[in-house]
Formats: sequence, C-alpha cells, structure tokens
Amino acid sequence: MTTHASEYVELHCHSNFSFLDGASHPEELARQAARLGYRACALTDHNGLYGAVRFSRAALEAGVHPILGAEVTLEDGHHLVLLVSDETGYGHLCRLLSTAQLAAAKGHAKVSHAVLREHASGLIALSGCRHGKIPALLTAGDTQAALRAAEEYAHWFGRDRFYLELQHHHLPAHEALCERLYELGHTANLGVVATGNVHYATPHDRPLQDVLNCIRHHVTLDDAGGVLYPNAERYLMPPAAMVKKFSRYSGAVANTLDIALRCTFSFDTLPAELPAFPVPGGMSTQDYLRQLVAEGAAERYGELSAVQKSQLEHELSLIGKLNLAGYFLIVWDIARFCRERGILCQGRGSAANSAVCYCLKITAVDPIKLDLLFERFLSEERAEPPDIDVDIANHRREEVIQYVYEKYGREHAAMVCEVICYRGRLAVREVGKVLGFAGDQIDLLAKQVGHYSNGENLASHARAAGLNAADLRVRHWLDLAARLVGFPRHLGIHVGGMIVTARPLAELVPIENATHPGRSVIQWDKDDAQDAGFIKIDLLGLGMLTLIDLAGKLVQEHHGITLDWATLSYDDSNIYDLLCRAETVGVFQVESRAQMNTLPRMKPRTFYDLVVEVALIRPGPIQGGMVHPYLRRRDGKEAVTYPHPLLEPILKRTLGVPLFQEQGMKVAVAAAGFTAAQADQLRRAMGHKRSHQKMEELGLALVAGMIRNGIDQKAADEIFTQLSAFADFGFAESHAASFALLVYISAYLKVYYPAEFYCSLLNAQPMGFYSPSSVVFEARRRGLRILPVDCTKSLWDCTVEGGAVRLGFRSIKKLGPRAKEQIERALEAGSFKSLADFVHRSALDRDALEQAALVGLFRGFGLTRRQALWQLLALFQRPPGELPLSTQEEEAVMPTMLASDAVLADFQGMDLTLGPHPMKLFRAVLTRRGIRSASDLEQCAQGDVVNVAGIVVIRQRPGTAKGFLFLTLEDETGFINVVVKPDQVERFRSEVVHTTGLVVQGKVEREQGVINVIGTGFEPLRFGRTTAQLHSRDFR
Amino acid sequence: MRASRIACVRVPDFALAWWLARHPEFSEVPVVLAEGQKAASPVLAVNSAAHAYDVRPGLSVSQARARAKALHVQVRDPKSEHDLSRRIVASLQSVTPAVEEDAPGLWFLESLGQGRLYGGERRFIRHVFDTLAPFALPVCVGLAGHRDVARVAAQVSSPRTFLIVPTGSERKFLAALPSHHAAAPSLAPYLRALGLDTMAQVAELPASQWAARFGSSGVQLQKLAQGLEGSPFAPETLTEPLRQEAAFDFPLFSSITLVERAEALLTPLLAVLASRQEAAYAVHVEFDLENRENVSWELALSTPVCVTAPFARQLSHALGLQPPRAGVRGIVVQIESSGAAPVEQLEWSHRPERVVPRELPHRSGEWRTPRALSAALPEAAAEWHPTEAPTPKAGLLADAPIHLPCLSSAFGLRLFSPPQRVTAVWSNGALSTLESPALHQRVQAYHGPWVVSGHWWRQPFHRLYYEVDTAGPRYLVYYDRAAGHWYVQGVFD
Repeated sequence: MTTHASEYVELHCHSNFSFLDGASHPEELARQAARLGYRACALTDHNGLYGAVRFSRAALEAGVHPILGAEVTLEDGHHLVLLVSDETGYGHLCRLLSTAQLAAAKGHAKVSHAVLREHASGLIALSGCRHGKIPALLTAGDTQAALRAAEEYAHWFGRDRFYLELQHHHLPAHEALCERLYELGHTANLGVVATGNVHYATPHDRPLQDVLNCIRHHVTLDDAGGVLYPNAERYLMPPAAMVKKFSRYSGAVANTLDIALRCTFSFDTLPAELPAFPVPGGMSTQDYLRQLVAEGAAERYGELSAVQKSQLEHELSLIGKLNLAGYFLIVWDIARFCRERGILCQGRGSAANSAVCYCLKITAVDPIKLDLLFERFLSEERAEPPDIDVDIANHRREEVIQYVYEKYGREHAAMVCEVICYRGRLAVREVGKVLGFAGDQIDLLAKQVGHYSNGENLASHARAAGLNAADLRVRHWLDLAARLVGFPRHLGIHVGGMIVTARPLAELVPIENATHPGRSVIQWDKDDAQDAGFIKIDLLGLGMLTLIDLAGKLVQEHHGITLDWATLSYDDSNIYDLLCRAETVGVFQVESRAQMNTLPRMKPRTFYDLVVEVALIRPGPIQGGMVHPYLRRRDGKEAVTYPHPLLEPILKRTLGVPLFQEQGMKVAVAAAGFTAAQADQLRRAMGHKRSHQKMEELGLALVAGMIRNGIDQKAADEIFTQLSAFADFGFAESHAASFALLVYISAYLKVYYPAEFYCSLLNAQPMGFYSPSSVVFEARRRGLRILPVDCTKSLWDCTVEGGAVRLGFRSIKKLGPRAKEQIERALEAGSFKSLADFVHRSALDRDALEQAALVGLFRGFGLTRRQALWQLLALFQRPPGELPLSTQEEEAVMPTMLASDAVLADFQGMDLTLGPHPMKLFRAVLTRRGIRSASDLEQCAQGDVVNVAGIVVIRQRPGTAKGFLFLTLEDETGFINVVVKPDQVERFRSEVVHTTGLVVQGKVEREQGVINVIGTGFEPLRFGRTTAQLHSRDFR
Repeated sequence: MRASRIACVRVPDFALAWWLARHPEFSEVPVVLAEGQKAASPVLAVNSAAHAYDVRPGLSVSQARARAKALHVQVRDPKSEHDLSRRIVASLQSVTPAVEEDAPGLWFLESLGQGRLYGGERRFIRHVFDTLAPFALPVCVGLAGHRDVARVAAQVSSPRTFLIVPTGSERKFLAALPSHHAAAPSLAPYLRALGLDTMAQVAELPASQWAARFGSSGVQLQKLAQGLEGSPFAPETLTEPLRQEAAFDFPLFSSITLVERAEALLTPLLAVLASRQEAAYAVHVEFDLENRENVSWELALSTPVCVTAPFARQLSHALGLQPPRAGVRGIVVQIESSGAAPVEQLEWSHRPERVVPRELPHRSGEWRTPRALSAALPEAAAEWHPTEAPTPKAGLLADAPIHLPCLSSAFGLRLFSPPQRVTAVWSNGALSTLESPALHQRVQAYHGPWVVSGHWWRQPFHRLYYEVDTAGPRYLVYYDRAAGHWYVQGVFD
C-alpha cells in the first residue's frame, strides 16, 4: 500500500455485531467503504470478533483491506479500541476477548488490566470514544489523571502503538474534547488519530440505530431522550470530508494510514489445524488410519474385491495427500466412543460417499455398492476441508459432546455458534414497541406476520391488521422492521457443530460461555468458521436414532431379540407395502404430508426407491420441476429419454431425470471428460453460492469437452443449461441413502414391533411431524392398545405391557425434569401403595398433583379422577409434617365425569386423550350438517364438492409452494389433506392460519389413491372449552 | 334461631349502569367502563351494545376499541361510585332504617315485618323499586330468610325484577342453581373440576369434608347450599353529614367572593368537628348555577385539619382552572362522616384549639396564611432541604471541567417560544448580520455549526446551530435545513 497525503482510513467502526448498537451489516460497511474509495477499513465491534470473517470476506471482495479489531470494555468500565497488527496481535486479541468473555456473565465481558498488559504486543490501541478512560478524565477536567492514563497505555502498548483518538460529530463537546486530546498528545508525545466511531454505513441508517438503542435500553423513542445520539453523523464519511474536518489536528488523518499499513493480519495465515491424534507408538496418523480401514474393510466386506481395494486405496492416498488422516481419526474416535457406550450414531451427508468412512463405521451405507461418487465428498482441487456430519441419538448427544471436550480439553474444543437473527415477527414487535404503538396493535400486526417471516409483505399485513399504511409512524414501523430482519440479536449454540484445534482455540477465535451449562461457543457460525479455515465436526442430535435405540432395547426386553440393523436385507415386502399405503406416521422422513402423498404414486419396492423418495420431495427437485416427470415416467405415462446416449448409464436409475448432485458430476465426467474433482468444482460453482465467473469458465470447458466427445453443440448447450438449472437443487445421493436406511429401519419397527415402535415414538418426543395426540390416535386406529397412565403401573417413560403401550408419567404436562427425579427416586423405594403414599413420597407440587388426579393417574388405587382430586384436596390441608395416613372420613361420592369432560381434562393435562376423539363427540351434529369424515372421503369421486371438518394437526406453507398452504385435519377416522390456494389463504387468513378446528368446503381431488380437498370455504369449528387445549404443529 | 327476612338490592355493573342512566343517548352506542383511558387499562364492565361486538370485561381498552370502532370509554370514578352508593343507602333508609352496604351496587335491608307494614313482601319490594326509581338503575331484588340466600336470589333475578324465597325453602331454591353463583372465586375451578355443578351437589357433601379441604370458604358454601345462614346481616347507622348552605339574592361571579363565601360556610362546620375532637380531610362544595347546572368539587387533603385555609386554597385553585360558566346562585358545603377523623389520629402537633378566625385576611385574590396559623397547616410539617451546590474538587493543576469553546455556559439561556425567524446575512463566507423586524445585529464572532437532528418518527428536524456574538447580546441561532430558514432560538442573558 502506498500512502497519499489526503487519504483517510476508518479505524473505529461498529457493525450490527455490536449487538443492538451498530446499524449496518459488516458487508454493507465494507461495500460502502469501497464505494467511498477507502483503501482500508477496520471493524471494531464491542468485545468480539463476531463479524470479522464476514467483514474480511466482503472487504477483500470489494477491494478494501480489512483491519480487524474490537472495542473492548476494560475492568474499570472504560472502552479501548484494539487493532490487530499481526498474527501475534490476533492471537492476543482472541485471548483477551476469550478470557473476558469466559469470566463474565453473557454480555458483561470486561478485560482485566493485567491480561491486557500481558497480551498487548501485536496490537495497536486507540484511546476510544467518550467512554474511553482518557476522554472521560479530560471531560471531567482531570488532566493529570488523563496524562497518567495515557502514559500507562503507552507503556503497555509501546509509544508508537498507542494513539489518542479524535472524534468529531459536529457537537460542541466533541470540539472541546478534540482540543484537549490534541494538547495531551502534544504534551505526552503521543500520536493522535482521527476516527468516525462509525455506527452505520450511511446517514439513512440512523433511524435504525436509534431504534436499536431504544431496544437496548428498553425505552420508546419518545422517552429515549439522551439515549439517542443527537445527530446522524456516525456514518462512514467520505475520506475527503474527514480530511477536511480534522485538518487543524496535524497528523490525525495521516496516522490512520500509518496504522493501516501496520495492520497486515489476514485470515489466510490463521493456524487452525487439527490437534494431532494420539496413535500407537511408531506409527504415523496415516498408517494408523490405513490400519483401521483395513480392519474395518475386512469386517464390512470380508475379502476385498479389486474395485473395493482400488477405491479404498484411492481414498486413502488422497486423504494422505491432503493431510487429513488426523481428521478422519478424530471422527472415527467419536464413532468408536458411541459404539462402546451403546450410543446409536450414523454419519450423514456427503461422508457416505466415502468407503473409508464406511470401513471406519462412521457411515452405514456402502458407497461402492451404491456406486456413489467419492469426489462429491473430497477432492484434491477442493479448497475446503471435507465435512463429516454425524447423527447421534438425541437423548445421548450430550455425552458425546462432553467426550470431545474431555478428550481435547476445553482449551482446544468448542461449539460453533448460531447467530440468532431478527425475524419478521420479532422485528415487528420490537420496532412497534419502540415507536410507541399500543400492545394490542402490535399483537394484531405480529399475528399477521409469520414466525419465520423475512419481513416481506409487511404493508399488506398492516392493511390486514387494520393499520393505516400511509401514516408516517406506520410507514416507519414497516420499513424499520423490514430492515431489522436479519440483524443479529444474540448468539445461540449451533445444533451440533464442533471445532477442535491443535493450538489453544482461545488464541484463534474468541470463545464465550454458552447458555447451556458446560458448553462454550466460538464467536463465529459454521460458515464463518469454515471460511476462516477451521474443520468442523457436526455432532447432530437425531430423534429417530433415539427412537430406534429405545425400540431396540424394548424388543430385546420383550421379545429377547437383538436387532442388528447391519444384517437387514432391505427387501421385505411387508415394509414396502406399508410405505406404499403411506401409513407412515412416525416413519423417518416420509411422514410429511407431501411424502405421504407421493408414496402411493411412487410405490417403492426397493431400497433405492427409498433413496429416490427421500431425495424427491425436497425444495430442490420440487422447484426444479423434477417430481412430476419422474413420477410420470415411473408410472409409465411418459417415455424415459436421455439428453444424450452417453448419459444413459448415469441417469438410468432415476429414469432419465437428474435428481442427485453426484449424477450432475458424473454427467460432466462422462460427457465432457472432466475429472471427478473438476466435476465437483463445477457443482460448487453452480451451487448455492454460485460464482458467475467460475461457472462461465467451467461451462466453456464443459461444452468444449462434450463437443470433443462427439456431442453436437446444441445438445451440449442443452446439457449445460440443464446442469446449471439443476445444480443448485440437486440432493446428495449419499445423504439420501443414509436417510433411506433410517426410513427402512423405522418402517420395519412399525410393521413388526408396533408396540415398541409407538412406545419409543412417545418417549422420544418431541420429534417428527405429529403431536403425541395424533400418534396415539393413529396407533389406536391401527389396533394397538394404549393403556392409561396409572401410578401403580406406569414408569416415568411409556412402557410396553402385554403387547400394549402404557403411558408413562412423562405424559402429564406439569411433570417436568424435577418431577422425573422425584418420581424415579420414589419408585426405587417401591411401588406406591395409596394416594397419601404417593403424595408423601413423590413430593410433587400441588398443581402437578391436581393435574395428575384429573388425568386419572390414581385409577390404580380404585379412585376416579374426581374422587382422587377430592381426596388430594384433603391431604393438602394437613399441617406440614403430619403423616398422610388414610383419612377417617366417610367416602364421598363424586359426580361421574362425562366423556367430553374427560377428554377436556386429558387434553388439559396431557395434550392427548385415550377417550373418544374430540371430533367423535360432535359427529352427530356434523353429520346432520352434511359434514363427512376422513373415511367417507374414500367413497368420494374426483370433483365432488364436500364439507369436511377436523382438528388442524399440521399447517405447512413451504417456501417452494408458491403461497399454497397445506393443512392436515384429523378426525376420529383419520387424516384429511386440505390444500388452500394463495387467494384463499388471503381471504380466509384468520380461519386457516389461526383456527384450531376447521370446517372446510372444497372439491375432492384424487390421484393414484391420494385424496386432497381443495378448499374453497372455511369456517372455524368450536369445541367449547376443549378448543383452547388443541394445538397444531406449524411448519414451513 | 331468630326468624329474619333480608332483602338484597343489587345493581349489576353499578358504576356503568349509573353512567348509562344519566346518558340515555348512549343506549345504542357501545360503552365500556374502564379503569383508565390508557390503551392498556382493563375494561371493567360493558353495555349490551358493546357486548354485541364481543367486547368483554377483562379486555384492554385498545383491544375493546379494536373490536368496536365507535366505542365510548368511560373511566371509573370510585369516589362518585361511593357517593352514589351512600345516596342510595340514604334512600333505602327511608324504607327501613336497618341497611347494610356490602359494596357499591349491593345493599341489604332488614325486611322482617315490612311485609305487614306494606301489605305483603311483594308490595314491600315494589316500594323499594319506587324508592330507587329516581336513580333509573337496573335494580334486582332478592328476598329470603337470610343475607346470603337473598344475595343469590338477587343475583339470579333479571334487572328490574325480584325473587322471593319463602322462609324454609332456601335449600330447595338453591338446589338447582349453579354452584359458581355462590362460590368464592378461588373455589370455582375446583367445583368445575369435581363436577359439583349445582348447589344440591354441594349440599350433599358433609360440612366436615368441605372444611377439611377449603376451610371457612368451603364451610360457608356448604352452609349456604343447605340454606343455612352464613355471614350475618350487619346494618349500619348512617351519620348525618355536616352541611351548610347559602342562597344569594343575586348571582355571584367573582372567584374571590365565592371562595370567601364557601369558607364562611365551612368555618362553623369545622368548629362543630373541633368540638367533637375531630378534624376534616374531605369537604364537598357545590355551586348552584344560574343556568340550572351544578358544579361541585371534592376538596381533599392527605392529613385532616381544623382550619379552612387549605380547603380555601384548593377551591381557589379549582376555580382558577375552571371558573363557573354562569353566575352562582347558591353554595352548599358539606362534610361527610367519612370525610372526618378523630383528632387523636392526627399526626401533626397542633391541636384544633387553633380554630381559624372567621375573617381570613386576604389581598387582591392572593391568599396569605396568617402567621399564627401557618404552623397548623399540614404542609408546614414538611421539611424543605435546599439543594446544595456540589463541592468543587480540590484543584489539580488548573484543571477545570471542559468548557465549551463558546462562552454560553457562563450565561443563562432564555429561549424564545416560538423561535424568531431572522435573515442571516453572509459576507465573504462568514456570518455578518442577523436581521428581522425586531432585530438588527452585526455579528462579531460565532461558533458552530453544531448539527442536531432527530425526531424522525414524528416531526423530523435537522438544524445547524450557531452561538452568535454580537455587539449586544449573544444569540443561539439555527438554520433549519428542511425549511431553509434561519431562526433565533434564544438569547444568553
């Protein structure tokens, strides 16, 4: 970088990762800096490097040199700006921030002077804003103390690495402070430097900054007063304006450039390598990996075929070349730990393309047998490390996470964070509050806006909420809420992403405490971590593995059979029959409404059909228009054709319709002679983060290759167009294959061990699409007996009892984790003998006991629900300490509970009932109104106009559905699929979006055994007091 | 047990009913009574027109407004509710002397023998209705052998109807009634959960079991369900208020005169109180106006006094805020029994022997408190601590807090409201003169501009401020960027 006298570099700049303070995304700041002609710009968020990777990436793309830093809060509460000069400085800043964050409650990090002094090298410090120690002392008139503080900082950082920061936002106090700081600099022989203390990219963002300030201080704009900055001057100013503003302070501008030139750190040099995996003496990690793979291969394959040998050799040599053996060993070790502890786990995603992973028992699908493409997982040309995701039984995932912490130490392992951002509804609420709108007005608009809304269509939502969208304040509300969407609000924990490093992690990225006890998170999300060069291991919790684990144990307990999933033949016609009938409630991945609709058309008969089924009903294939052609071809209604004969072997398995990413890659290999690695590059160039330049380059090569292989220009262009359209939507075949395994296993359990399956499904809740209530109704419809919760027979979890499922204590809503401990402890001492004994030994609170009585928990003592409650009430009145022996009073006869009251009590207490379905109670009335049941629909013909009614159990409005809303209603005979067109959604919004029970008028649409009702009219169905207890599960 | 007959007089939604009775023009308009006008204030009662819009008690005012656009919100006034209730008690005492006021809108009357006096219980109740007719309230009456059954009877009666429960048939009457009518709110959910929907079911369970579960409220409910007396009738004796009134030969307009006259009426009332060793903290003053309207004030103090001055000052202040719209023909001054308290309870040290002289000195409308009496005034008890100026820090060097580069901090700023528009004349890139019809000043020096902007959510402004030194005073001047004009906002005196 060469200097120029009139150049200015912004060295104090906050993005929206200065939570609820900065009002621009890091990328916006970087782009604006580029537009204004900055050659370098710093990002100095409060106490963190949260936005550093994004800023760095965007700045480099825009041609601006990124300077990393942070404005830290010191132990005395004063601020100080620290800029990273070199790699040492970066490590020191991370260490400073990590130490401060880990020692404090969330959001209250303070850097101690001792730690700062110790880690000052490699950093350049600026005296900070008005909250800096020196400005604060000067403002208070204590020049001597300010001088001492300046000397102290200069001593810590070095006289050439500490600068007095001049900020001028056209306010009288700023001018005075600048004068004093300038004089102090002169006296102490310290440099001064101009900064803008930027909080937003352009003045246009000032209102948003005001709003954020108000949210942070919990005040409305009208009451904000001094909380708000007095003007809109904290934007990224044109360098010329800054030069002019600070022209009277000699050196203030020139020093910005001088500092920028000394800040040379880049993420490219970040030493984020993995820790060395401990291997038996004398072996290298590669050798050890090779040995383990050989052992695993013998177990998996027996004697190796030539193909297997060569594939394993190919993979191992590439792993060796890329120096990734340690990574594979780390993941192998995790899988080993799981196996040893009996924790069900399975690799998912592109790792299933690897035979090495299969032999290491990280994945369960044989990629050689399924002809999967290894390069989709790993290739030499690929700049990124591979990504191995491991699914772990949900209920035991924490054990695995803690194992990783233990094995590599908390200094070297942490989870990646999830940056929790504002979504539409929350943005509407918070901006509405700040603008002073009344609570119910906010409720009205917020209810119109979906939970996951991205702030689109706010104006129409406002109109629907009865707001005047032309009003100035309403306009501000909608505009600011839309702009707030996507702003980071706080950090959460990523569902399973962990990173482990050789060097202490706290020197590579700031770490902070997670709200979950025993966990720490880094300040970056998975994408940022990956961009910074970290290799992530995803340890994901999967409810279905919990179910399979629990069901396997129950089968062992009740049938004495140990199920070995590796030995299943995957060709059982009973299982495929179940899937063809779409009786898939609780079956992995194929229980959604769309999957259920597709199964009878798809009629899967082989394992590969399941792989296709899993991949087919996905946003990609749906948006790419691949679903219907595939189903038509499968049904014989459309001829199977291929873009070129060369592609037939690749697309044959999917009937000429490209579904999988691997197929796209193979097309490039077969048609254009690409190497598999080049094909992967093409996939990535065309993929989610497509780069037009790269795509064009590779596209030209692809077409040229195809022409070379004898494909004419027109066909070559067509193939390229098809590939580029498909690349973004295709699904990884390996991932689909891993999931298909679980589909088969869960369906197997459902067919052969229904009691164990449903019991485990209830115990693994929350999981899947359906509420426990729907699961129980479905189980009963399928002839399974479900026994009520009974304190003399139930355990905490649901159990299998004589081929039936006995509900456990966990079914009762008011019994939480503490109650679980209390009950289990009491049960250890023996079963309960009486109500008084239960009350005494379980020590549950009054509310829980009352609810337990009303759901019939004490039926085992011969008490009706009401008798139990009556007796309980007497026990509550006993003085503390008095033994709850049986009462002497005569037995009171309580009124018998009506069926409807029992259903209501069940839903209030358990969210499910073993009594009649609520719809059954209304059936006579509904029949009189001509309303049909789900089973009646079987007799309806295409186009019949019908009225149906049910409880809304699922609402789905997928992004790919172009505004269509899919409702699943449930009545006592089954499910009713309702399709609501976008115009009907708008017209009947309140009914279809918010109502629990619905009466729907519509036309029957039948196709290959799938029945849908295309809704044209909707009215709420009221169940009296029961309505409040029913809930739908809403998905996008 | 002594035989008794008790009548219960009940006005559902008493305060709202009273307001609607006085404003019949609102009968078709949705009206709610709310705790306050604020959006979040809860709705306490609704009329039938509001009910038709699904407006219910418990909603917030803004929620109610969202349901009924033309909603009229009437704010609850506990004081006037109380006053009205007292007036109704007074009226009912003309029917029978033994009256108990349970709550505003709920009264009990001793009715034993009243049937003979009025020619039957029905006629007696008719008389009660006639007595209360001037209030135009939707009165319900229940008559029974004891208080609690009478209340339930009034509760189940429709407005302007009555229900008589003959002695001895209380249990039969109650048997079919829903139990929640009589149960305490804390018991109602249990009754529902236990399926004890009727009073008959409640009666069937032994009292001891109710006691074992719900304590006294359970026993009371069970007793009631069995038709037995629960809480006894406790009539009160109404104390006559102290009242003075005066009618004038010609209408008075002067606030000073009116206050003086009111004070003259109040003085003997305070003297009476003083003789009873009592003092007043609430005085009711009512003006009878020429235009047949009345205006009244409740003058209230936090501490009772036996002097007129605090009340006089309050009245004077009230008249200053809202003078009568017509001449005043008469004044009534009244001290309710509830507005007085025994002297022993007073916390201030001065005894009521310092009774105010009849003639209070005053001058041109400004009340002067006589020195001798000032100590007796409640506000004299309060201590006043002047704010102390912060002690300057012991000096380090020539340290001083940062002063603005301008000199304004040495002066007080007098703000103009509204700011005066001026013409700013610039010459050679510098501000040279400020001109307006009232101002012509050559600028000697100026500081600025300071940029101030904001309030974008209501009325945005964006101003450049200058402190301008002239040959005369120093001005605070700004340029309004939106309007493109210059203004003098204030002067540093």
